[in-house]
Amino acid sequence: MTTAFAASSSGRAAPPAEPQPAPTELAAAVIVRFPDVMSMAEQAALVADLDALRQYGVHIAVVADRRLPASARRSRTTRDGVGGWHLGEPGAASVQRLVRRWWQVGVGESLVLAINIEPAEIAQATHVRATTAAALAAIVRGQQLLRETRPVPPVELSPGWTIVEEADDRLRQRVFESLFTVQSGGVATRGTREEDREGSRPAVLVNAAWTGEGADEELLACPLWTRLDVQPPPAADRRVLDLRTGVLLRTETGVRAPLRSMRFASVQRPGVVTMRVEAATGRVRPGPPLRPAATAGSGTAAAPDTEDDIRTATAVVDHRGGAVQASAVQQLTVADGRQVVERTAAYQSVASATTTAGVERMARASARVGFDRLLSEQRSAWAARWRITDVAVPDDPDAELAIRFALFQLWSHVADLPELAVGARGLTGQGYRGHVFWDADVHVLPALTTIHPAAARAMLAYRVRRLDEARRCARALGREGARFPWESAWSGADVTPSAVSCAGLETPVRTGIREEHITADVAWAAWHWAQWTGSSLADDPALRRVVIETARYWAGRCRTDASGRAHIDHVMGPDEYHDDVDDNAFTNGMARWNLEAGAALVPQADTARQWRALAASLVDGHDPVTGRHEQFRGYDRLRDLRAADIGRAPVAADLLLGRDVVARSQLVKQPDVLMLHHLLPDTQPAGSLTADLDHYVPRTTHGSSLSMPVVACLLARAGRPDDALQLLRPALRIDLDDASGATASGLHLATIGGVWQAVVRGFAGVRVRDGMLVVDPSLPQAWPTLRVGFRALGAHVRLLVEGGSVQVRTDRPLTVQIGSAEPQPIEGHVLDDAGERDDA
Amino acid sequence: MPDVVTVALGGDREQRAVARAAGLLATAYGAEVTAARPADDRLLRWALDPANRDGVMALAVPDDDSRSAAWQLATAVPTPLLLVPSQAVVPPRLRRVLLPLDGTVEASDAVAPIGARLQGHGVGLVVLHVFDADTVPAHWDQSVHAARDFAEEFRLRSRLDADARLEIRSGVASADVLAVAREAGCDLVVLAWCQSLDDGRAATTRAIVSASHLPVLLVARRRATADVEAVAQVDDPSRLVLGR
Repeated sequence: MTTAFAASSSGRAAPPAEPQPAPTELAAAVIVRFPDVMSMAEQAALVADLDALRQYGVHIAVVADRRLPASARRSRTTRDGVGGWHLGEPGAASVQRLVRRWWQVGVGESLVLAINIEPAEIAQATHVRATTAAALAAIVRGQQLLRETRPVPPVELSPGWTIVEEADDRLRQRVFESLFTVQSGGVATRGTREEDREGSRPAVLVNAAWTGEGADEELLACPLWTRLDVQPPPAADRRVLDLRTGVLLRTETGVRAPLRSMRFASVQRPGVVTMRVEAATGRVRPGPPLRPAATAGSGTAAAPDTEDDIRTATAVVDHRGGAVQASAVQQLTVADGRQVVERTAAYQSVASATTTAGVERMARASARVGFDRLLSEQRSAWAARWRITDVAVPDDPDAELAIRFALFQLWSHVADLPELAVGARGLTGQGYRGHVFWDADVHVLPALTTIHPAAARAMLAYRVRRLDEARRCARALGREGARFPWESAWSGADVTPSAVSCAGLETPVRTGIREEHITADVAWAAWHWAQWTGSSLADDPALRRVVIETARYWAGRCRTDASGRAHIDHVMGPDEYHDDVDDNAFTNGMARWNLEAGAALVPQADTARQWRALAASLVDGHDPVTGRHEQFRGYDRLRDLRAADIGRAPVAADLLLGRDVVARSQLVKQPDVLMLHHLLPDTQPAGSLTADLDHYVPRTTHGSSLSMPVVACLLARAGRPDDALQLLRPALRIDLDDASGATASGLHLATIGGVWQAVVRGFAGVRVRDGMLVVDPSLPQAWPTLRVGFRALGAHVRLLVEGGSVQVRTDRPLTVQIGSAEPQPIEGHVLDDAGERDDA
Repeated sequence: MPDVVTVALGGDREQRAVARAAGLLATAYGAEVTAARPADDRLLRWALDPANRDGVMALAVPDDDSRSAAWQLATAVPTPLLLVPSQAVVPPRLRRVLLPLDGTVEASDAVAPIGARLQGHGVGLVVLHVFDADTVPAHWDQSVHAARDFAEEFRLRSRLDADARLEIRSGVASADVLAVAREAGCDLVVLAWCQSLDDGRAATTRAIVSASHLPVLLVARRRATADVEAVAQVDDPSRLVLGR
């Protein structure tokens, strides 16, 4: 489209305007070089116009090589990174500095409108020329006018940052609903399309909001805010999840006036979600802005298609611990054959629902801010996240994107809340009913600790708040201390199902009774968090209590035989193929560690002495002759089946062969002995990692989705990075390819956490030991370069591993040991220095 | 109203069994039964007529010989075929049918309309999915949750009615189909198949039919329209060795 703008901002006779191609998409940033012939008054007027554009959250940069009006010279960079104002000098270097600066507020080159800038200086921008003040003003005002029509903005289609769905595959409909979940502040919206579709599973899920009782306790389905009635519904579309900004964009394909939508969960305003939808007039009937989850998509009530119709709605649904309140504001605009629906909603979980005024205020205030500014905030907030934690694997773009997707999901689960309950599928679906397993403690929490330690601490708070229930559980079993449940929801009581129907028969499920290692896993999570963040358990009464009370449980759980050796009978290790065993190496090893950790914290010296003695007497299954651990007593006498004997891996061998067959074999569902090396590397006998890997990896079927990243991490640590990468690749794609066939019910959050651990702890070889950062990378041939950013010991750390060299940069002094070299203190380096860009 | 056409193949006992099975299905369908001789050209023309795509051809299957008229007809016509194996016992009523599904869109699309029609006439549905070495999931984390989530997604992918009972087994599909049919008290097996016997294909289908104690309704997985037309053009009725 080309349009001739004729406008003047100077108030005096303006020269004829030049015809300019009007940019038809919203620019997120505008860089303008003033024409040579321009009076101060014209410049001042243009600055005012640019300033007006800035109110929409647009970043402005003025390039000039001469004196500018005072209004242009003022620094007006906003604190929240929205609508910044920059001055620069002409030239490629100056422009590139601006490009880098904008990248750091989430604006990529393709979202920039460049006026009078040399194309080579910012190649992907939209370029226009304006040699007169009037033409320039017309272009700037064109952007303003465009905003008034509220089109759906574009996203930067960078292949390294976007997950794209183009084929409307019926089998993957619900898979993409999980993949395209947008989430912030503990409120998640599945990526269901706006209109009702057969088989869709829309859901809004809120952190720690469960309903129901016992094993049937499940995540509460909250009122839906994205539903619209669309006639006719789009036959084909393209959807793009932009990981860099946390935005989901949808564009109908194959029609002249496509329906387009954009939605996101505001990081800047936790609990607030917003969307904009545009379509030909009459096609969308917005209906009520909130719809009950149970009748989602029924579309019985529709709003009139009147101009500027504003509707609000508020809903409250009870859950076990209080209620979820939701409030939404909807505005319908109809003009020039187009209609635009904007909906902004706010959700909050409250302990007691007395008034909804708070959530209504949140919704109204956010709606007043407007979609464009909310989007600008969103870009900036996500960019800040990626500055803290990112990955670059330049030679393996597929892996890089998949790792970024994992990081995106981990970041999405970050929330500034008193407690974070991270279920097996997080908040991306209602699979596993939202129950919290050890997945949270040993697979997700260590990953989240490297990303956002406060959120990881909130995960621990979820356990701390249920310590009393864990004590009650121990008492009910006649023991002291605290025993955490295998599956946990609101109260902290065990919600593990007790039986499964299989082949027409009810088969007992023993995980709730036997998988007791969860108790030590919770304590380990507390210890690990403290180690990694440089905190002291002794100074954290709540975490200290968790470690002591779990140790007290193990003290009563062990049996000491006549020879003085201690045992733990009738347990199930992580390898659930063997569900009632004695002296499971992992359980005993974790219990031993827990006893020792408790002894270091418990104030009573006698108790500490007893616990240490008991820990020392616990059998651990290690055989000095073979150099490896026996997984449990009698394991070595089982039939020596390997994963290769039964065909492909990963495979759910128990389904394929039957539970009895795998129980009588040495097949292992997931790392068990190896999990000891993963969690407690420093306490294992020298040389046992290699021996245990050699023995157990061929016997591991990876029938658990948690398995592959852990083994990959260990293989990398053991100096076998190529094997590690081969094993990591399926884990990277587990949800993107729906490899388990279960992604429709939510993403595998433990796998996601494991992937990030494999990158940081495995390939990058990062550990924290005694307040020191240890870096000992082990890169596969396919990854000659690896860059990661993460948090440790209170510092932001950036690591570059390339060509056998390692560079560590931090924003505060740290003691770092690289490989086997002597530990060295390194000076802090401010990462956020203006103009730095680490993605190049 | 769809017709059920019986084809007079085999001896009196087989033909009586076919007639009983056809009557059973016709009652459940709300259809009428018509008898036809195998050599009758009108039979094939009826089967190839798109207007009769919802009809059912019923006939006996004397053995597992792929060259038999029954199997040749099965590979040639687009209408569903109600096969009555020689060892099958035709039940007195059609109360429950078994729909084995492999999880593909093609299979569920083939049998779902028949299942829905039978349900509409009060017939219960039992849907079976069998994991084998090729289809068993890579991961099965916690058995209760994994089974429930898998079942829920399987229902949605297969567009199953909420009243349909879903059974999930592991093993050999042909054996599990017949075992579940017995356990669940089914009176008919409705099977989607590839409608080809080339290169050893349809081994499971043939194994089920050859060992089934029940009549089996074979429904071709959806073929492209062009394929169906090609069958209609190429297959000269006289070339079919009917009544052999």
